[in-house]
Amino acid sequence: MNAMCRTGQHILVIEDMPSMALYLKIALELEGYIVDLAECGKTAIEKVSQSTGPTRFDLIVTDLNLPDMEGVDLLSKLGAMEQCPPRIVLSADTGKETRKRVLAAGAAAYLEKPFDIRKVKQVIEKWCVAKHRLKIHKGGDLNPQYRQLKQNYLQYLETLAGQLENKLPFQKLKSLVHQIKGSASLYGLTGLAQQARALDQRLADHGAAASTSVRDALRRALISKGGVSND
Amino acid sequence: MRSLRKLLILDDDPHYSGMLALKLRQRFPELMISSCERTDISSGYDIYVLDNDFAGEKCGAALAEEVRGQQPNALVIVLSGTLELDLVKRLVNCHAAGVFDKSEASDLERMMTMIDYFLRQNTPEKQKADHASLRSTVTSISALLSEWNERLAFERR
Repeated sequence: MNAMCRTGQHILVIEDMPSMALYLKIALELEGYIVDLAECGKTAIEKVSQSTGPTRFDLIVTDLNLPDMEGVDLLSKLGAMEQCPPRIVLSADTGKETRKRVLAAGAAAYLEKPFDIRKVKQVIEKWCVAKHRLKIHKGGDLNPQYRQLKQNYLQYLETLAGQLENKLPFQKLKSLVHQIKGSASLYGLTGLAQQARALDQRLADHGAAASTSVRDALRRALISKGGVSND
Repeated sequence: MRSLRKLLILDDDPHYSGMLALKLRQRFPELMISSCERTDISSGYDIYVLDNDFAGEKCGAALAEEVRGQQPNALVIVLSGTLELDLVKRLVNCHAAGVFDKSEASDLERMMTMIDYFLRQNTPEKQKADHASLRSTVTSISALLSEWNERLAFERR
């Protein structure tokens, strides 16, 4: 693979000063990003709206002083677009009020100019990783998605029941019971949710001493799915 | 351009966040819903639904404070298995809108009602009009305090 695009991640740099735009483009390409440039807000909006599929931008780095629109307005407009990537602002404006407005308009980070390029790279890397941790829930027909989610959940409960044959650290058991208490209710498994609630209370009252009995009871409850479903 | 309303769920249980996202999409098709299994606060969302318990660590209040610092106008909701006084105090202080019990089906409905109210009250036009309205601020804070008091009184019984 070409070393110039080893991250496979696309960044749009919005900057009207050609020397600064070129500097950022070279510095980020050397880090393995694919960099596109826009010299004004209008071009940036066009490029973001046209970027789809594998060419979709993973991140936007923007200046605040643009020739055709206010940087804060541009942030809001970009944020209003579906699946807008994180936006990082680089600006010479060091005022607290501007920082507040920029963050309120949806910027992920605000870095002052003159900047330390190492810091800029760190922030970009952080947000590129964070973006990939985000799951966007979409898709037209919700019924098949509901069925799939429920099937996955029931399989998960079966796997958990199998894992509970072995001893579990107290904190992990506590956290698991707590988790089942919440999720079972949401999936309509009210019997299981009630049993998990009772087990949660037993752990709170008796602590680690109740671990074995709670683990066994939870395992039985998971196998029977609480015995009751109101779905 | 009409702005897209966005909601972010932070919860370390993907089964919970997946189903919650689906139920929210059923009720609010106009919302774009994202979720994250880690405690990374991304800015730019109108509504944040934050779990209090991340693998045994209680971080709902700290997350709510972080969101509030970044997004003063966002609706911040915390999900918790238990109502603890310290959590409630911190949430009131950072003007979080509510704390709901994940295991109570009725709480899910209450949360939906709160989101519905927020979306209807916070259209871009309304936000501008309400910004300087002392009356609306006082009303929402007193409603919030009354809600907390009712819930705490109930917990103590």
